[in-house]
Amino acid sequence: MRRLKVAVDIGGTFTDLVAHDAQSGELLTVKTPSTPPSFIDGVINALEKAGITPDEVAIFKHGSTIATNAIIERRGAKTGLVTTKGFRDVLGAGRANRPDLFNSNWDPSPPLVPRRHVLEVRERVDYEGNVIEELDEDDVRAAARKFKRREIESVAVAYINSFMRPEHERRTKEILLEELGDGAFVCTSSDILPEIREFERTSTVAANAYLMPVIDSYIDKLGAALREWGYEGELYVTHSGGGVVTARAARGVPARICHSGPAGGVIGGLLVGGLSGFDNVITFDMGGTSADLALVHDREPTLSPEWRVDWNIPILFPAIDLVAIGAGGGTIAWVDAGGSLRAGPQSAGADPGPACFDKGNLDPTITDAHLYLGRLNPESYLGGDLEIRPELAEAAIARLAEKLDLSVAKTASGVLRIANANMTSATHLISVERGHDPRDFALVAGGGAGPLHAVEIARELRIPQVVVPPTPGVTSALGILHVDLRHDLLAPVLQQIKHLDIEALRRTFDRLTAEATGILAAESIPDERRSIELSVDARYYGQTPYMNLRLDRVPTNAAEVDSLVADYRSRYENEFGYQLPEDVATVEIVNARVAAIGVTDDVELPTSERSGDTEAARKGARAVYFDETAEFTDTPIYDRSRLAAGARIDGPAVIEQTDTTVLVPPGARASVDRYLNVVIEVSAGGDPAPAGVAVGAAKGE
Amino acid sequence: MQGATATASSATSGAGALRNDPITFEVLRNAFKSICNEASALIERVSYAPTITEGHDYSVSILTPDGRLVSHGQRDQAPHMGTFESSVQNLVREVEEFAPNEAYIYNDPYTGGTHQNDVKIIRPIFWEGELVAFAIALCHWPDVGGPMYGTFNPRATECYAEGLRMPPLKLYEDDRPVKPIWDLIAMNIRVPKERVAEIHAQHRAGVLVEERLLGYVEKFGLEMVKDGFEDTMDHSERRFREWVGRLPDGTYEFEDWGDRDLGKEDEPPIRVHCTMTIDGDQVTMDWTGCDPAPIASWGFARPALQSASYDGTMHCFPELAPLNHGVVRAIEIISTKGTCVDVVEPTPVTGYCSGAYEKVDAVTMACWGQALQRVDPHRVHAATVNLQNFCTGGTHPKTGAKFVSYMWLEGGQGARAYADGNSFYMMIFIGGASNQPNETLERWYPMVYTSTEAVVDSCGDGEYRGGFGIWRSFRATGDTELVVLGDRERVGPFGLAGGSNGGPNMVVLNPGTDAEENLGMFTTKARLRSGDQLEFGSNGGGGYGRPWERRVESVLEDVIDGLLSLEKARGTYGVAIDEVDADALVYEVDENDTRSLREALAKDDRPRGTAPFEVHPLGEQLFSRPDGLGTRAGQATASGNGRG
Repeated sequence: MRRLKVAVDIGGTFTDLVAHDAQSGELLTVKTPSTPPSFIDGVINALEKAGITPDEVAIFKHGSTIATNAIIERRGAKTGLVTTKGFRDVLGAGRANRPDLFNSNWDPSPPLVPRRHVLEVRERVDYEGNVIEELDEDDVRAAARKFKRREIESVAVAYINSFMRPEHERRTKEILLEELGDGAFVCTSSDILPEIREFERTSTVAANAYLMPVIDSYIDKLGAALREWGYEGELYVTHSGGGVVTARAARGVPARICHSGPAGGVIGGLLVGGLSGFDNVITFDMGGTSADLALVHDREPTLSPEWRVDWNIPILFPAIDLVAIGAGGGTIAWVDAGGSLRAGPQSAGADPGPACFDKGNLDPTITDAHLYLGRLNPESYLGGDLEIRPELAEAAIARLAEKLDLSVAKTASGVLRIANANMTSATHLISVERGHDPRDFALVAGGGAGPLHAVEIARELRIPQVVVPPTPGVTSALGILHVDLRHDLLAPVLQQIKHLDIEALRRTFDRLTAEATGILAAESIPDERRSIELSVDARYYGQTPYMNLRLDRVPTNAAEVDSLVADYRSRYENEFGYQLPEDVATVEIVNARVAAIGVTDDVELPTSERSGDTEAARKGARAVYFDETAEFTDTPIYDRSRLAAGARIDGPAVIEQTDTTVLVPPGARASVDRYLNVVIEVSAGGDPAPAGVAVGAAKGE
Repeated sequence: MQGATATASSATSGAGALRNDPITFEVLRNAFKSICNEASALIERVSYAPTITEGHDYSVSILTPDGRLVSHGQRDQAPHMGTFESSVQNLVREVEEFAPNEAYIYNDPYTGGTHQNDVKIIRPIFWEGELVAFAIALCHWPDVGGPMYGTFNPRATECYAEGLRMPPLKLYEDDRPVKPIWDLIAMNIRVPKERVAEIHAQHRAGVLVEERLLGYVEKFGLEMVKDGFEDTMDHSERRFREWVGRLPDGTYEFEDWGDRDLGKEDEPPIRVHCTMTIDGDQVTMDWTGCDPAPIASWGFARPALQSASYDGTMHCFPELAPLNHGVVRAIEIISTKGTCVDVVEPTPVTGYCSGAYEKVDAVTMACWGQALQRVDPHRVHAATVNLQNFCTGGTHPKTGAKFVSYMWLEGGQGARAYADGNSFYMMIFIGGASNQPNETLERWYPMVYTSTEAVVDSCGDGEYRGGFGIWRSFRATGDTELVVLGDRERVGPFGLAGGSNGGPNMVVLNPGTDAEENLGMFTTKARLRSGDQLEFGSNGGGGYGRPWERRVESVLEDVIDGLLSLEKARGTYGVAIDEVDADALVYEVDENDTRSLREALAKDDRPRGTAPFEVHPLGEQLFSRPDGLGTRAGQATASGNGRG
């Protein structure tokens, strides 16, 4: 019998499934429509469509947009917040800043807890963790009674300086549970995120409380549906940091599983790149409305300590660091009042979609430009599922061309150049700006539009190779299949190195490590699969952001602390290009972090036995426009599904498959490796490294 | 539309006027923005003072060799970049010859800046021996010496009693610091060691701009990049003139007031007045009607007048961002030397921002607002919270280290002609700035914060109300000296179209005790003892339209959220609300009572004037509720700012 690892990625439009049998190497992939609002039917449909039986499932992991969507669409619980007396507007005020200095019509998005449900309690802890006002338990009980009468479904507790002393929050939680009943949803900021900065901590715990009832019921329902289908085993859920947690753990920290979809995509890109021999990859996923870019160095994705749902709703959980920019197939090109050609940020999305969809949008989009330039096949767009009208694309671009006094072809290629410049700039931001040389990386392209743009972007940044996986549409599910179980624990340290209490630091790490071990035990991870990673967040005292430094072990003496400082200083210099004098800037340890990891076996993807003549995969030719020649060139078209391992194709060429189109411009050379990845040498020994520099734009405009 | 000036004579002829092809143009225009954003992000990341790392008080820009602004960072601070043209133009006059890998430090307000704290480091950028651009990186240093912690000096009558003033000085040669210059600076400012981080950050930001810009020169060639500068400016000018051309020709006047000139015996208020003339696509802003320069630190020199005029303009046309010389050259600004908006040395200027800058900015927006209200009322704003510069300093009782802290308060945004103002809103001209977390401040300075909480009833009232101000109060835990330089305690942020002015800025020591003292907006070296309580509160924003025409449901929402008292709901908005069960949030509106209350209010015998909560006479006379734009229908969604 097969023993399948199954990963399901639930997106807004499609539910993707990838299943893998380690014994045979068999890999199944399935795409089915998602089934909002519950999404659960889509999971069962995917399992059935894949022909998997319940007893074949060894492990079931899944990623879902449900948490993210609940926040974006404001469909979370009716939530209350308990805070220190006097601090009722920490959440509402946020950091009071705006994304654009001149746009005073910009409005922040409403906080997840409206002011009326923020209740104050007398208590106060100072910055060192001393109690300067005892907790007034009557205030807490009064708040609980108000919440009860208002039918509040979930409560967050966030007191000032609670990260230094959590007792008041813990006692508050006990009282709330007493008053509201044991089944009530209550979470505290010191539990969820014991980190300095009251707004960011409060925002995180409020989001968590807001999601608790939603995710709890979702997991109940999914668990029940899977049991009914016949699967009794553990259910794992992916989180923003590129790991999974058990469903049980996710119920307590649902904010952690927001933003998990993009994380799956990055891990998937890492896996695909690794198979083709690249340990350093930049993942590039471009769909209908936006493009996500992320950097993976030495098979480790870059983590950011925070991410934002909206400008004013930060969530401070480690998240795969990605840059999202508003450039997708539906991005609209237009000419502004000053006569400048612009691409985005408006998008026609999937509905009404590009002008060629003939669903009411008359403005030219990036897809229309590709279609006009011959890069997309009007006969088999999306495998022929969608009928498109090229003459509408041409008319839309022609209207733009008239305003610009340019040819239609130059206008269409100009639209793409501008979009490419925006994406190049974003790529520059995550690579060069962070001290990485793009020449050491491969670009892994996914999404319906990614493989159309990848070579151009790679060339701008002197990235030598582009990799397009065989099924770019399920990269995220593939990533989920691959990720480890991972819990991230954190404790504040906030000590300058010169005052560092090494013994206290050791105790902090001991406590976190014990907690981590307990978690792994509770999740039944066998010893040989347990891994504990130690790290610290460090910065120059006085600065706000910090860097995470991996530790082999907890420093036990001054020499080991010195080496930690040296490590920090060299990373800092690498990233920012200079060093601060030691007498000016002392290093501060901000947080101690411990990751509890349950290691998953690497997924060995099958190699292809497919053979055949490359010419047999050639299905014809059509006129395609390339910037390199500034004209339409008769270009061979290949069918991806018939390309065998070892095939080589010199650009110009177009490779078509049902879910995307790969553009191989003149001067580039594509080859197919044994995993059926298309690997493109972007300059194919021709042009020796053009003067490379990022061309770009501020993201999003 | 009449012809533009010589430089923009092709302005209306469309894309044909571009030097580069439209694609290269757009790529380069975006590139200039992105370079500045990257350099700004670097400063935020590696600077030291919370003012900068948490508060974002810094800017980065690219200028041409003759000192024309090309681009700036998206979250930078408007007062800074609006003076950069003057800075570079003066630098070029002062320095005979530039060389690669140099950087100049410069903060003189009269020739090229704002106030002494805004310290610029300017880097000439060369390509093959030719000067092709300047990069400026500015940080607000928390202290540049002088008698007061933080350098703000409300009692100064001359700039010599404020802080260190620097002409352009070469601080870096061959990318190495010029030690005697740095030593001179270090000897004249507080906590100079901390500023080393800022200097490094500012210098490094210039290097980054250079590397990135030269990358484009390498790729496109110098001529295309230079053409890109010109195209970028022409493009903005075309778009701006296109807008101006759509507005009705005419003369638009407005005025606003500073609370008082502390330097004069009777402390008179200070008038700021503008006459804006729109003639075709030409605009002139005439500030000659402003009062003479005050004796105390409130006014500013001509570079900052330009900056404030540009900022007010850009808020009405935000799609033109980033600001560049194309907009600058399309605005003619007239002023008289020796007035409060065109002061000369040695009139003090540390308080320029809370003083003249806020008023010029607000008056500029009100002038544009008159022209825009029939064309696009979405661009009309009542006045927003006024900055209070709030500096504390002393010796930390636990560490024995000297400290200086500089902070400010967010407050209420002015109402828009279609929506409420947001609460807890950063001052209009520093939208990229942030507040500073209490928990961070407490670790640095000897104080325990006691509130981050709305000032109830502080909104300017109207059909659309202004946003609410905030209390950020603290108890001192060590002896501390306090300097406050603010404004709008006596003159509220103005309302429009019959909306009332927003609530006052406030600094009160030990309220509710025998030792209560209103320190007010011009506090010099107040000594706080350990245990003293300081209440620090901010303006509400001005309202728009008549309060008794506000939707009853919106008034009720504010009451439920605890932002508006039942008394104010009744007395000002004419909404009779019974608190049936506050714990369960059950409130009832008495409709009959409300109807008669509103009928009585409609007789409108409210006090007219500039004080908080009075009805601003000019704002009432010159602005009306826009018709025909469906603002009523749109109110349900548009007014929900979600911040209470």
